[in-house]
Amino acid sequence: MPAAEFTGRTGAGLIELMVSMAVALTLFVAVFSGLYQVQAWTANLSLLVERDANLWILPALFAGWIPPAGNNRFETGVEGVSIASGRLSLASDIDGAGGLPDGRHESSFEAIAFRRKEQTLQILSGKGSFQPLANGIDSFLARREDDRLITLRLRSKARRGLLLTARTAAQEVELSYALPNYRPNLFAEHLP
Amino acid sequence: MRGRRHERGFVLLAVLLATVLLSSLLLLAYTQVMLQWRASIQVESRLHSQVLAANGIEYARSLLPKAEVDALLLGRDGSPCPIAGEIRNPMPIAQARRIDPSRWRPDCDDGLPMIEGASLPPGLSDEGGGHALIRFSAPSRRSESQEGDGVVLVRSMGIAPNRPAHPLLPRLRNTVTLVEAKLRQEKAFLVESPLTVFADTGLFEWQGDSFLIDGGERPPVALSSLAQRRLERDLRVSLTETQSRRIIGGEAAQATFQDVRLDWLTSPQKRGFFQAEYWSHFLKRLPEFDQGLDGNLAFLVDAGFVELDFEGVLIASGDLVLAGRSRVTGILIHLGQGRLDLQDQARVEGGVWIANPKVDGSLLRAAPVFLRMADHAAIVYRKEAVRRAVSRFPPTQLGWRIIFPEFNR
Repeated sequence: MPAAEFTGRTGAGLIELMVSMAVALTLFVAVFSGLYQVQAWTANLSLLVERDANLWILPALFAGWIPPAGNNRFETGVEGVSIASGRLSLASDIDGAGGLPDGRHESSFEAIAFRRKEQTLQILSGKGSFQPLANGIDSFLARREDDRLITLRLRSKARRGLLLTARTAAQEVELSYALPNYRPNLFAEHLP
Repeated sequence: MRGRRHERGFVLLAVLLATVLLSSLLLLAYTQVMLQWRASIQVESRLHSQVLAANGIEYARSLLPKAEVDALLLGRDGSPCPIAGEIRNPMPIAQARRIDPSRWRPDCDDGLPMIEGASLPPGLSDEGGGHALIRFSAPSRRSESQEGDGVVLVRSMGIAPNRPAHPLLPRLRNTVTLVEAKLRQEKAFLVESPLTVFADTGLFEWQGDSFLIDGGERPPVALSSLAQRRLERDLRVSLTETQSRRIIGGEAAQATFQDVRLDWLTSPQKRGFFQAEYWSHFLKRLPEFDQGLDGNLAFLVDAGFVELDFEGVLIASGDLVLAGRSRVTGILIHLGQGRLDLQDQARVEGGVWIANPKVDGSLLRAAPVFLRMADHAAIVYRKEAVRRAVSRFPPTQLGWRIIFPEFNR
């Protein structure tokens, strides 16, 4: 059996294979890390959008619920805004026969209340029970600055920890709402 | 060669598939972006329309004190529209959503802003193209006792246009918010005599016979009391015959005192004078509304000797001595706790209203009043000055509600 001819390239194939494997592995890791980064980024973005959606939408919703509070309170004798035990209660006689205030809070939207339970902001409408309004709310504070002003502070964070970081990216907004029904009057509202 | 022949057309298919895939992705992305954009712009424009509507109420608040409510509700033509009796919106909401508010012309002028027969703009507009339009209505379901109570409803419609910032974005309808406020014109101090006194007893001091109380065509003194009727006697005994000739007005050649107690008790606004709650509220809130002597609604406490030139409503308690060439054009209201003294050439053109209400819980007592006039001091009734002064009182807000909160739809 003749001896194999020595060409000077013996072992080069093995080196090439090893180099190519190393390059392939590097490329593989690079591609998958890139993909993971993109995936983490999009997942984080989704969580942050969800968080910001709460912080954008809730103040706008409160802007519709808070200002009418206390309408017709001189007739109903019911306080329009009360804050107690972390609960914000709003009452407003804004509906009745013919669409006019009737001195009663019969419609469900005439008496509403808000509270936070765990990570959920809940709403109570009329005589029902508390229902979820927004998730991911880890702080809900309401305070009456004076007769005419109420301030809400909302803090929302991502539902779960963001990928590639331990942060939950908590974000806080604080807004003050005027209470037109508590505008001071020089003359008594209720005439005999 | 044979294989390649079979591969012909595959590229076209692949390109078509890629195009379809890419188009689907683009369409999906466009839809998502549009939904997000629409949601965000609607939240923004809802807030914009709400702010506009609230500003419309402030516009109405500024007009109301100067307006004649009955004339305002009927419009310039003086006759009611077919829809009279209903609570009026500036325009139907469906119409407000689609039209350009700057081109809107109402088909009926009932309840549109008007002062002294002159039409005013129906609302306000802002730089963002938003409009607030207002319309006044009489509150429905009024009882007979509420007639003339000065209460009106005003509805303000905030219209925020959703104009796209880019030609590729679709045009959305206007966002509309309707806010209603219940306001009351305050006319309780609309005096009809140069001197009005609300007390059970009084101490009146007249020095010399050069002072003047001139009611013109109106009786010179109007008297009202809480319980006792000694006020007229106190006044009469304080005057000499010569002095009583300095109190003129109406058809009589000398002092005539008109008892207005019954009128006040039947007036929806003036019967509040007989209530402790009315006075405790008024006295408590008064300092908040003090604009100082540079404004038109001033509140002085124990001011002592002053020489001033003032137009509007001057409210005082404690001792107030108007001296020198003092001149008050409008109404001078003195709330007791001291004396009101007009001397030298002090002059009130309009009317003087005096009382000394003492509130103890739910009890009201009309304590004695103290008025002194001397030298050439004068109180001359001027109806127009009184009317203008009364318009300085801010309307009382009885309610504020959002009628059409789009947030809840």
